[in-house]
Amino acid sequence: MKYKDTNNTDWLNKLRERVDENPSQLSSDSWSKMEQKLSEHGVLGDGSKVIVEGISKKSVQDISKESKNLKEIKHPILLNKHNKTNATIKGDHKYIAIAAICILILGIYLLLKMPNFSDKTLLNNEIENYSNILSPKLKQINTIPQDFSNYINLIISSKKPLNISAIKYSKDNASENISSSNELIINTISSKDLILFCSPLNLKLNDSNEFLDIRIKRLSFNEGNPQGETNKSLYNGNIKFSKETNKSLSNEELKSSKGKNKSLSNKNTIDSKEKNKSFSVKIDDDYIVYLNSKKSKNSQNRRSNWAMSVSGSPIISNSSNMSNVSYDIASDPSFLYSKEFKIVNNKVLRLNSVTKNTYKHKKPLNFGISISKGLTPKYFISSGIFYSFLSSEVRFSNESILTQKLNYITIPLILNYKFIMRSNYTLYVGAGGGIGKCIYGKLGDEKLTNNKLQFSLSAHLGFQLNIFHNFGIYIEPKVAYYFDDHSDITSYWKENKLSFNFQLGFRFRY
Amino acid sequence: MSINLDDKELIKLCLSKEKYAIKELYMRYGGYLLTVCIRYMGNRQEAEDLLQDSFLKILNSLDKFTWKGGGSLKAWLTKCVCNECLQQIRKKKLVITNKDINEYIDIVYEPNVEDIIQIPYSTLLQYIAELPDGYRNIFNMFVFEKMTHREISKKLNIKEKTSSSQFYRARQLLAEKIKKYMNRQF
Repeated sequence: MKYKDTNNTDWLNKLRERVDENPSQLSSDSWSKMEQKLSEHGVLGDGSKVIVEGISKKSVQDISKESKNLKEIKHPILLNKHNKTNATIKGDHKYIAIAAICILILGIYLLLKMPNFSDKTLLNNEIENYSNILSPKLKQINTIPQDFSNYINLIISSKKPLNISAIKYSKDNASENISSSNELIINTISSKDLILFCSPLNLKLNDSNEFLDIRIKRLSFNEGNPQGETNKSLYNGNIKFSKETNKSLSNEELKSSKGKNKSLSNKNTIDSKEKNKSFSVKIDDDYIVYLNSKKSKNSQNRRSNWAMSVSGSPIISNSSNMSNVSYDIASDPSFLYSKEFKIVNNKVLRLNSVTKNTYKHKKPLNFGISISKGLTPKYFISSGIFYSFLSSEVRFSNESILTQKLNYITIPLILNYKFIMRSNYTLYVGAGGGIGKCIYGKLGDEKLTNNKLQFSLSAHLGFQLNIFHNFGIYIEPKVAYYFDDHSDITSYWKENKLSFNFQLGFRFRY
Repeated sequence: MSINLDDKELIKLCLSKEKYAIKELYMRYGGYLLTVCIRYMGNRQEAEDLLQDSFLKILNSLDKFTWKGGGSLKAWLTKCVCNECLQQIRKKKLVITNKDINEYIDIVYEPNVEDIIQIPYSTLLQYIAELPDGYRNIFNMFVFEKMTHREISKKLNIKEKTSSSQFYRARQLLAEKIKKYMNRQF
């Protein structure tokens, strides 16, 4: 009964009407507060876009009204903020971005200009080295009378005293004329360092089809015993090559007698190096004969200069009679151009020597997980953990090939600057450094250890596709400089200190 | 001040986050929504804060709004703000006590419609705002949102009887205030 009188609600209806009809006056700064709040929460757009399409239906009057309003709409705070970001992009940060791009371009340029350490150039360099060492003699040879249209220079080099008993050569079209071949005896020159046998073989090759047959009767070490009792015949064979050096004989028959007349002919190969007309003849596991042809200055005379060198590589199989010799060579440090050698698979491998081992590096594979932390809206640091796999093919001077595999773990620290930010992608530049450590390495079957840390610097341009708000995929074209870690191991990074690569990855942002 | 855009166009522009349109929306309905907030919250400061929070939420859920002809935007906005107010009240634990008002309610004064017209709307709003928290909410819901006591009781998780008794009490208090005003006038 208490609430009986609720029927009379007219005054309440009137009350509602009056209150509803008269909206409260918003305080003057209400919208500016609201605007600030909205921009904080990112609800507002960038504010720079002015709608025209929505108004297009409306009268000109409305548009002019609107343009008046627009002036009001740009709230000072937002306006300032907007100008500020523009200013900063145009200011310092722009230079950072430009600098990073410049580094990137410079890096690529340097990279393209870097000499390419290929197998071929190394071999040529090597022969050049020999030529330099032998330069006085070579010069002498170069002044050979012009009577001879072609001459051949035979250089046999070795650190160990060599004893070549006889070399026969012949010039004929066929093998039947062997009997008329001249015999050339080269005197032994003994020296602790290098023994050179430089003797021009004066030949006339009238026809390009002519063959030259050089017969090397005996090539032996004189192991310090002049009595000749311990002389070991290392090589006994012949090398045949034609003037057309490009078509150098591929399947040269080389007869080798190693004490017990062990035939090694199946092992013999000739590598043709077209460019410098040099080729190496692999006589044995132990010796490589380099044949090098140089065009003399008087090219109209079709004069060419042949250099033949036998370089004794201290690679010795521990089988058969050679073991003694090999031991002597290995134990005599003066034999080696460089004292660094390593015994792998029971073979002495020279690691850093004039006859350098050639590395064929594959491009390193990098992948990893990256995390990033925003410092300011424009800057973020990223780190992570990267795994790099470096694989190289090592060709030792004895032509044996092993695969070197190195596994690196790198932890980078990179400062990035975003210069284009959109909701679904970001463009940024960054620079930083990294510390890498070889965690596992292998050379053939031997384990390689490298305790040195690999430091590096890098600069990159990055593009990140944001899949989720805190997760994205990125691609970074990158220029990296790897510092020499002063270790014995040669890697891709060591030979290509400045390298260019693409990095793909995932990035977590928190 | 207001731009000649209808609600439908305005919402479209708001959805594409045009600042200009958002301002227009705020200016067009902000005052009204502020009234709603004042009615619930009881003081202007809190009401303004709440309005801004609500507006932010509204903008974020603007895509849920479906156009149902003229006035539907205002109704939807009001509903959104009301819900926000009630949520805020719940958060502030301005819980309506479940106790019945057992005291005898004497209907001292029943205002006339003419009286209401004479009183400035701001004063009316002030009177509503001055009502005790619990009474005020039920009064708002019953009178302004035109909810039944059953709906109110469900919404506020109170007894239906509590709702009606509290409303009755609020109405009494308001009537007294109006009477006072009228007496002062004459």
